[in-house]
Amino acid sequence: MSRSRYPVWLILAVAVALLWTFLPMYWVVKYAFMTKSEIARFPPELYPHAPQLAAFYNIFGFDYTAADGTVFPASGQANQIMLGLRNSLLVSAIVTIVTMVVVLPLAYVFARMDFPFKGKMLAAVLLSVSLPPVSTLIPFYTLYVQLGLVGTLGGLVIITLTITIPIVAWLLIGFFKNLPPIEAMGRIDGFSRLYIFVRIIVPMAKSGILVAGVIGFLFSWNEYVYAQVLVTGSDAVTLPAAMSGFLFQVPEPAQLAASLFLSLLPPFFIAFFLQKHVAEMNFA
Amino acid sequence: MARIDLQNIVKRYGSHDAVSSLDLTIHDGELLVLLGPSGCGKSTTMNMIAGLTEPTSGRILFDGKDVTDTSPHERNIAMVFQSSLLYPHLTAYQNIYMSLKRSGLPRNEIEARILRAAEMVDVRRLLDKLPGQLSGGERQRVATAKAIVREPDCFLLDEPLSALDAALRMSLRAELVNLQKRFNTTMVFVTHDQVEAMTMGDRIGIMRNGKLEQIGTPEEVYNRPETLFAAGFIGSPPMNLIEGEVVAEGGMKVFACKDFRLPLAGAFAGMAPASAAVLGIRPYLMQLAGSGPGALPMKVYAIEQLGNEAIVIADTPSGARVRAVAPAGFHAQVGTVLHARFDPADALLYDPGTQRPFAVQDREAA
Ligand SMILES: Nc1ncnc2c1ncn2[C@@H]1O[C@H](COP(=O)(O)OP(=O)(O)OP(=O)(O)O)[C@@H](O)[C@H]1O
Ligand SMILES: [Mg+2]
Repeated sequence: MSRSRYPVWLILAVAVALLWTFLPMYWVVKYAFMTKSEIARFPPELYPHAPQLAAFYNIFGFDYTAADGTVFPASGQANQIMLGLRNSLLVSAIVTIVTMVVVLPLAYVFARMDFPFKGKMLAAVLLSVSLPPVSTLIPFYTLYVQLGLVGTLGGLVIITLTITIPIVAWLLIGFFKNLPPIEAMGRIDGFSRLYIFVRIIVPMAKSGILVAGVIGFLFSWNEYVYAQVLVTGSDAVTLPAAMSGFLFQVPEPAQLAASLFLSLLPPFFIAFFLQKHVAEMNFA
Repeated sequence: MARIDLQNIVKRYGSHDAVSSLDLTIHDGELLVLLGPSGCGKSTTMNMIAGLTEPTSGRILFDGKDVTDTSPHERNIAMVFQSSLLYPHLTAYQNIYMSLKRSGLPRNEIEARILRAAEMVDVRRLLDKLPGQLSGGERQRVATAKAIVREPDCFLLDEPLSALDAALRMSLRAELVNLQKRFNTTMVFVTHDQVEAMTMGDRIGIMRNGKLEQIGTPEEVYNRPETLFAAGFIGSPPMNLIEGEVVAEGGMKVFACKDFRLPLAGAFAGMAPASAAVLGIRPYLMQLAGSGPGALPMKVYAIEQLGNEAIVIADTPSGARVRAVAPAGFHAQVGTVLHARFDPADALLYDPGTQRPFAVQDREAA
């Protein structure tokens, strides 16, 4: 028998980390394939005994007839879910693009150049990262009511940027700081600051920039607190806000789980395609 | 080719002078080594020559022309950075190409020059590789190719070999000197390794705390260090420094300390008595000998075998650590008391107040 190349403690640690990450996800996702009565059973089922896709049909607005003739009617929330999916993709895409356009030069300047009050300005960025969104919710809400931004996609984009910009900036500043003193070489080779940034720094920092962008996307994709207050029930509803309807309005655990499953897909695909870059970068 | 003059250069960071009132001339075609401990301002000086850092005050001249306010590119210098930095996302070929991208030369001329430079440092077969796929020595060679392809007026190298192992450093050192001599291009080489400085430099500038302590040929700085710091910094094993005083005794001057008394001879025989003096003597000029007047007693601390000779490291009764060179294979128990002698004419005497050698009437005649 061949002995494993990895020590036992490492295997255990990885197992714990995987369980910690995937067990809660599995627990929720399995509901999507179960019926209401199966979900309500105690002790809980460890897996769906007769997996069926009713909840997925329902959230997209279709009735579903099971093999035994039971009919699962389409969800009344279906249009909200579809709208939420579209809006979430739209908001997250716009937020990510705007965040990156703003943050890339900003983080570069903070990380690689000296100017007065840099330390104090950096501290302000850090402070805004540490503020929980609820603490700014009420002032934002009053402001939004006055500006007529409640229930609009634009309003949601702006408010989400207040979360993503500081976080992505903070990540990228750390990443840019660790790059070697390549600007000096670029200047000797006769390139302008802009050329050095666009053609040398950005390609060098590709992995870090991609990962920071994904983190911005995920923060936007998962944003719930502001959306719940500002866009629930409106045309600008996002997926997390729409999903909460299954919790608060008409409790439908299977449909909630199905839409949750849906909301996990984009992050999952992104993580899958970016794993090479995640492994490559280090923010140390 | 260029002669470089630094005139009264100051670089201040906050209230700290990284470089203070530095005057330095680098002759056309010479290889000047800037040597000094970490933080003494070597890189800062180098970056000001390159134009990457602006001096707080002072002027920099290239061939008599003031370039203080010109960009690094206009100065037509080439620089090799600490640990042979390269653009990590570009291949070796592209890295070398970047040196000429803004040169305005025709495409085929650029290509020919890149291949010639690559040939010269033997990296032709590495041109398609990324820096991450190269070994430390190969990266260093590519960085050198990137520098020579410019055919610059001056090469600036900031500790390019510091990340390499000893054997590789030695061979690359020779390669760099060989290239510099073949092109006859001015070169400034920064290092904190005094062996590197001694072996490479036409002249060595020793820096400390942002100031130039001494500048001269390797022989000059080795044989006649102008400051106590230079005396202790240059040479491996380092110079022995023993504290004491100089007293007049029956028409003679005698160096006296707790450990021994030594009648002075040579240049310092005519100096005035001094209540504090530091005697400096190279380990290679000390011989193990029997006890007696003028012999320095010392207790063996360790012995280093170098193959062709042995270094005896020992403590004098007053606690000064000294080194002496003994024949290869020399052995002695730790704690054994030995005696060392040297010709008083070989000794240097420094004033600890000014850190400089004592003034003597006619040093050359001695
Ligand atoms: N950008 C800067 N801001 C503030 N202080 C600086 C800056 N660059 C250098 N210094 C200071 O100037 C002094 C000289 O630095 P320099 O890099 O020239 O030293 P060095 O001789 O090259 O040392 P080493 O051998 O470690 O590279 C140091 O005390 C350093 O802390
Ligand atoms: Mg340095």
